[in-house]
Amino acid sequence: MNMDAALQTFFTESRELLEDMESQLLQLEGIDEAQLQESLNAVFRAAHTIKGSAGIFNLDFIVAFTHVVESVLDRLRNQQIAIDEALVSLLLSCRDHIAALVDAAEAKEPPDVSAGEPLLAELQQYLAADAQPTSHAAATQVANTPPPFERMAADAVSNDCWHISVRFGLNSFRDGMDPLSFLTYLGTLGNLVSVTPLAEFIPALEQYDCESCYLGFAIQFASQASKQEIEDVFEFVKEDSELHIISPNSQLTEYIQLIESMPEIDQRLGEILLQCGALTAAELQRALSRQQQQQPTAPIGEILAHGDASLNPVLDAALTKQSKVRESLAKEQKSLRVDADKLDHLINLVGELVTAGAGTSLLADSLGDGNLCESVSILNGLLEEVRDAALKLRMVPIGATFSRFQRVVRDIAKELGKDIELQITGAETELDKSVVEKIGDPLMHLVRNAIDHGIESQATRLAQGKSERGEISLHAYHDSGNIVIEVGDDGKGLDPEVIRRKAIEKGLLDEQSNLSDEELFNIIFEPGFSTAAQVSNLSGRGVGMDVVKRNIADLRGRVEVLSQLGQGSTMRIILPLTLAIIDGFVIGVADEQYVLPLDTVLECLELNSAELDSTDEPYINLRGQVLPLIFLRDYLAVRGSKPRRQSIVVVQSGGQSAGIVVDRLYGEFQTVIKPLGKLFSRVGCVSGSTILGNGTVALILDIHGLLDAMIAYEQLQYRR
Amino acid sequence: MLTHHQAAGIDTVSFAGEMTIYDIENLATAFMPLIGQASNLVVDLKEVTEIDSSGAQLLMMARLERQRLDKAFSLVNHSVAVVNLFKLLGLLNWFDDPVLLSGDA
Amino acid sequence: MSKTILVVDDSASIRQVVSMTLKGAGYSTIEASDGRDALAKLTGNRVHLVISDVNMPNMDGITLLKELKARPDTKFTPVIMLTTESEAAKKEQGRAAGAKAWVVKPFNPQQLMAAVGKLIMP
Repeated sequence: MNMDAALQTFFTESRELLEDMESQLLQLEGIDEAQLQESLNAVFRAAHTIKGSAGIFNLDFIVAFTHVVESVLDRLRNQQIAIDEALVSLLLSCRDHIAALVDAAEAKEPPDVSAGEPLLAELQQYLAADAQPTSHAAATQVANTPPPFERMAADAVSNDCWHISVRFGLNSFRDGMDPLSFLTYLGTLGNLVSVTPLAEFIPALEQYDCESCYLGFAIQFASQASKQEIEDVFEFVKEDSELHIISPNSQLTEYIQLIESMPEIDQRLGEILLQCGALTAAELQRALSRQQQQQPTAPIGEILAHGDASLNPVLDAALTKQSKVRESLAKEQKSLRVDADKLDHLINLVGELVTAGAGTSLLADSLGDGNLCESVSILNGLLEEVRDAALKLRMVPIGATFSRFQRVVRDIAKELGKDIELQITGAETELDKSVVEKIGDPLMHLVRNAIDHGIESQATRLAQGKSERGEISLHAYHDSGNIVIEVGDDGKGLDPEVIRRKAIEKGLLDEQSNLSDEELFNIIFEPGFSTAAQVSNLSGRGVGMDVVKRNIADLRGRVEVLSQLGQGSTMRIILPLTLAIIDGFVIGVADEQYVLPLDTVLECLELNSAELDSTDEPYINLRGQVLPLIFLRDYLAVRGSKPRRQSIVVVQSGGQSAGIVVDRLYGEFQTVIKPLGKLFSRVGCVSGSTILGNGTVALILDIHGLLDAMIAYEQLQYRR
Repeated sequence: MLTHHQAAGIDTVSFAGEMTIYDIENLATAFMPLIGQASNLVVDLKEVTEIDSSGAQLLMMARLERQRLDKAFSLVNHSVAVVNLFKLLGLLNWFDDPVLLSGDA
Repeated sequence: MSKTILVVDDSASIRQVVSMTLKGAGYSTIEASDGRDALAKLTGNRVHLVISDVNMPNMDGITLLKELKARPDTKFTPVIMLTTESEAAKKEQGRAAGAKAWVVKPFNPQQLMAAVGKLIMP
């Protein structure tokens, strides 16, 4: 095994364990006894696993430190010492130190061992509290005790198994006795190392009765159970079945007896014993030849008397290996680690495939061959599934990101002397891994802001009749092709007046301007704006909210602010589900094609010019609703004459609807988004580009940006 | 339930729903004649929601019979229920058809 | 979907103990006070296992077993017979009728669950 790859796994695994450790530690206070024990065990296991794995990689500085932590945890879970807040804080600091050591190991930098020394000194106090031996000492003692049976130790692995041969009675099925449930039950008493079906009793088709049971099994069974207990498993079928149970390390004669009991398949049974690992080839040879030497009538005792019968361990090394492979198959891991680069490569290829598929589809349409079209459409259907499945591979639940904030909230709240609880909902909501990676920082800013500016001091809260403990909530959910993440607090809320004054003071706003509350709220995202009267070291330095907005915009998302003075605020981040591929709707203006995200498109109408000419205002009456129109041709300043017929695409985004007037409709198209260069980052209404099936480049219109531009334009008109 | 269709010289038999002792007689009555007749026999287990030893045994018999006849036989699209049963009874190795072990079954 | 077990006994307390034990292990139960009641309660319910007392008024356990074997929807359903040490003759009758699984009263919950575990999966 490649050591570097294994080491990488160690780093990933350690981080996961450390995260788990943190969340367990944070919930230690105020849970009941049973849960407490469980959590302590989990924390202990985490430390134990990290220590153990670090040892394999010779990361002695991790082993040395973690060992002391583990010892304290061991005493904790054995209730030799009690948990209190100081100890939780200490353990959290220790966790951080282990994380730092792991980071240093990964960066191949010398670890800052000295940072751990004060922690070790504190830990020692918990260990010194009384004179009980620590787990380390205990472990050493165990290790020094010689194993009870030397001979076993030499080949213990292969030697531990019972051998069970069972042939179920013909009427087992009819009696409601399914071999399956007996084997399942047997599995509860130990480990089914291997199960080999004996198919030899199944008759040929003509004689086959589908309700009769012809099954038998040869089972290698590792268990501490007694022979009686194993026999009892088959209690209900023993009358009609043939059952042989051979204890571990049995005499060869017992196997001979077994082989003799099924004369019709003795040769094959021998093979099965070999195959399932009960006998080695040499032993089988011996058994069979001895069996042949004996007269059928010869008493078993005679064979015994001949015995050089001190039977060796019966498992052949190669066969052990085989059954181990089988065992590991049974314990098949439910998840698989894949290198992120490989995944990205796959997504890229799928993207190309989707583009190529769309091209083929166009080509097939133009050829008009029915069979070809049908086959292409099947192909594209599958492609779509492959696309979705591939994208799902990158989806990870946001929970891990959320739970990191438990610590942040706890630490910052403590620092500020506030009592704050973090509520997390929708932790299972999945989003694209690349989004998860990039959303951490903006979320951190928002959460810090909420703690710092949002939640009032305890005294203020009490004075206002609120509960002493403030609440911050992180909430994630899916909403029509988008992921919504909300950071809420039940604090003082945003005061539009304060924002207004501040904005004027900072020169961001004209004194005459008359803005709605929402517009005022949005000013907090302007560069250089900070509402905190007192600048703390956490937030409120005036950098942050504008960065938050920019970061989220980079993810093709947007932020909304909901706030009620005195009740609290909610920052709502709306993000597209994935970054790589969207379902697009292709439209045309003049000779150019453009793509609208399909999930924003509501319907398409024909533009009735007569209706429009009657008025100067660019809107139509859509089933009694006013629908403002955007003439894409005018908006994009496309030259040339309008075609005779134009269409309206009704789109919706953020609760706003509008009709986009275009020359032609081309229909749905799977769109692989290619980002635009930096040069175009200021172009508000275009979010990217794509390559169409016929090879031409099309711009992807940002509906939200387009609508914003339209509203801004209207307001400008209105003010004039 | 069992459906059978034939295309390009391949007989595909799809079992669906329960393959347990309660249904085995009906299934066997429909299935057994095909074991001898078909030249290439593919058994699709995708829609099997429940299977017990009697269902497994029917498939084992089919396989043995096809081997005797020296004709092609394969099991495909093992459902989760089938894979679980095969695992327990040691049948994954016995039938050496490729099985996809789904990750989150 | 949890599996359903039909518990038949004329003693309400035994029914209750058996039912509670089974429910505690995650099974659903239907209770019936005798063989006739059991057959009535079977209608419309898929039952994975029947646990029945032998000695009951109206219809005893052995007759119930024969009835179950005659019905298409229960003929392959496993049956556990509850019996006492003293009912040797009954046990012989039961054996003849095809009863395979016996649990001797008084039994503790572990013994009962072991018998159930051998016959159906959880």
